[in-house]
Amino acid sequence: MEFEATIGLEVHCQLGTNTKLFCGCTTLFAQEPNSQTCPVCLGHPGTLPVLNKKVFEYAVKAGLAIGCDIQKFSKFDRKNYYYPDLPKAYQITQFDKPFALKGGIEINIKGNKRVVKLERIQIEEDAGKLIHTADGSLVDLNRAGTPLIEIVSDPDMSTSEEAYQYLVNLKKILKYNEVSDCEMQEGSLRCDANISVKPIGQKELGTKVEVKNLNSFRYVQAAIDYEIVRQIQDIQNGNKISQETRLWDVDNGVTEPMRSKEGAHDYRFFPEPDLPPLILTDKEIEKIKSTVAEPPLKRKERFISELKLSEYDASILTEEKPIADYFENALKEFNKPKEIANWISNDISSYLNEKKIGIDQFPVSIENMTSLWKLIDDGTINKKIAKEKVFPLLVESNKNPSEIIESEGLAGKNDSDEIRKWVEEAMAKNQKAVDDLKNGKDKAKGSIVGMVMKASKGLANPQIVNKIIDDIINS
Amino acid sequence: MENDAFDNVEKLSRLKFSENEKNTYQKSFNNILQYVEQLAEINTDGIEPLIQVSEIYNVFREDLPINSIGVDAALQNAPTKEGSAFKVPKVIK
Repeated sequence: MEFEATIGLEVHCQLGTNTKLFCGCTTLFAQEPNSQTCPVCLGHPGTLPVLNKKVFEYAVKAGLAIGCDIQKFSKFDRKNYYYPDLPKAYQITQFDKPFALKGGIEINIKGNKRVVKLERIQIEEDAGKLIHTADGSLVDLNRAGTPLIEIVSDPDMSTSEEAYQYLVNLKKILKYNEVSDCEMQEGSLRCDANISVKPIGQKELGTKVEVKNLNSFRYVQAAIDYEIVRQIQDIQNGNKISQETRLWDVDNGVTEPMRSKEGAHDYRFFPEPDLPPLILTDKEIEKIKSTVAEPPLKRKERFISELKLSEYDASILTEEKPIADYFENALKEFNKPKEIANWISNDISSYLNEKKIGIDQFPVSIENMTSLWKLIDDGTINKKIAKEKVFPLLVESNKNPSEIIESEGLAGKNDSDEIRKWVEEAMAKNQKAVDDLKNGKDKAKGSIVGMVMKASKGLANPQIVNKIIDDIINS
Repeated sequence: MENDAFDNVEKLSRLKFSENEKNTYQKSFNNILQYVEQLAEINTDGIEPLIQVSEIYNVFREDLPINSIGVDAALQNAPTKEGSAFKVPKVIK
């Protein structure tokens, strides 16, 4: 019997606010345990939560960016359970009236584009962190009350590759819209996967297994692949799949049943009486909509169709919004997309990688960077010299490139007489290359050009050098 | 309320009753439930479920940090602590 898998993903994304969801405690990472707490997030009796306005704005922005139907009415609910990381013994979340429904994330598997559908997005608070020691569990409530959105997909995927792309593209959208830093190492983005298998063609879904502890997109992919094989084997061996939560074991590359913390879940949801419902007007939704970034995939397609860039270049340029912004701002000053793309994906990227910084911290202003490109374009300076000599000075000083070229004596030599002299000297020293060239072996030109460049300290204009060589050979 | 349902509430509340207590509380529980049940006699066809009674909407605060109370104050009511953390009985074996 052939089987097919059904996969749904739940992504928790920490919104990039300064303070928590319902109190003014900060949300900094890696602080002394319990140093970012107050009576509200410690769950002291008698305290009242008050919603962080920015959380709601960011959440709605994320919802719009993902193409959701933003709900004009939404509310909060209590999800009740006992666990030491949850000091109130309930989590404030959204149950039956979340702020966003539907929407979708585009994926492209080997040229087949389709949209993975979403069920909903809800706002909720994070729990604290537990550290288990030999004789007890230590509770750090710094993270308790951190604002999250939970993005729930439909069970609309069937391979780990689809799930991986869904996550990559979702993360890109969230980062493009600057609602989250999406740092998986810091827990800003977390993913649980629901996986089931069924005989191909069967309508009814199989029993689903939830896999947690997936700290990277590659783990999600690996865990899904593992689960699909495990479940199919189990069924073929005549066993029943039990509905359970399993943990991904990174070291061994397997999923293991999670020792359950209580019996069947009974969360006894009810409306949160301490938080008034939320109402949005069309005008407010429109206002937030106007701040939503152009979708990364759309931007990529635009770069390909309008600017005639390759798929590869367009992918690199749209990987992160600040790079795409830098590119487009530079394009306003210097209208040669392919040239700029090459500089960004080679010289600029190498520099950023070496310094471990983002392009937003790149020291060269767009004005100075495009000036250099113009000076190459009009022949004032050789590209090679620009890359090897001027660019390193430019990133150090962010000076006007003309000044650097002037003070370092790096201007290209365009004087034909001067260049002719170098060419003639080079030819005199390399009769074999001259003979080869005369016999139509164009490759021999390289050695003469090389000698001229050496004699001119790399400053001779290569186009003129080439032209003069041709003139002499053909004369 | 049936025995099973009462046992479930007992479990969810992390409480443990003796047989005697159980009889007493189960009776009280049933009285409360019967009292509230009276509401079911009212015809609520076409009426939206009530979520709140205050008629207040959209209460926000700005995203501005307010000083946290500090580790010492946060931990001052903790029966046990270790370093800057609360300490509780082991939850994972």
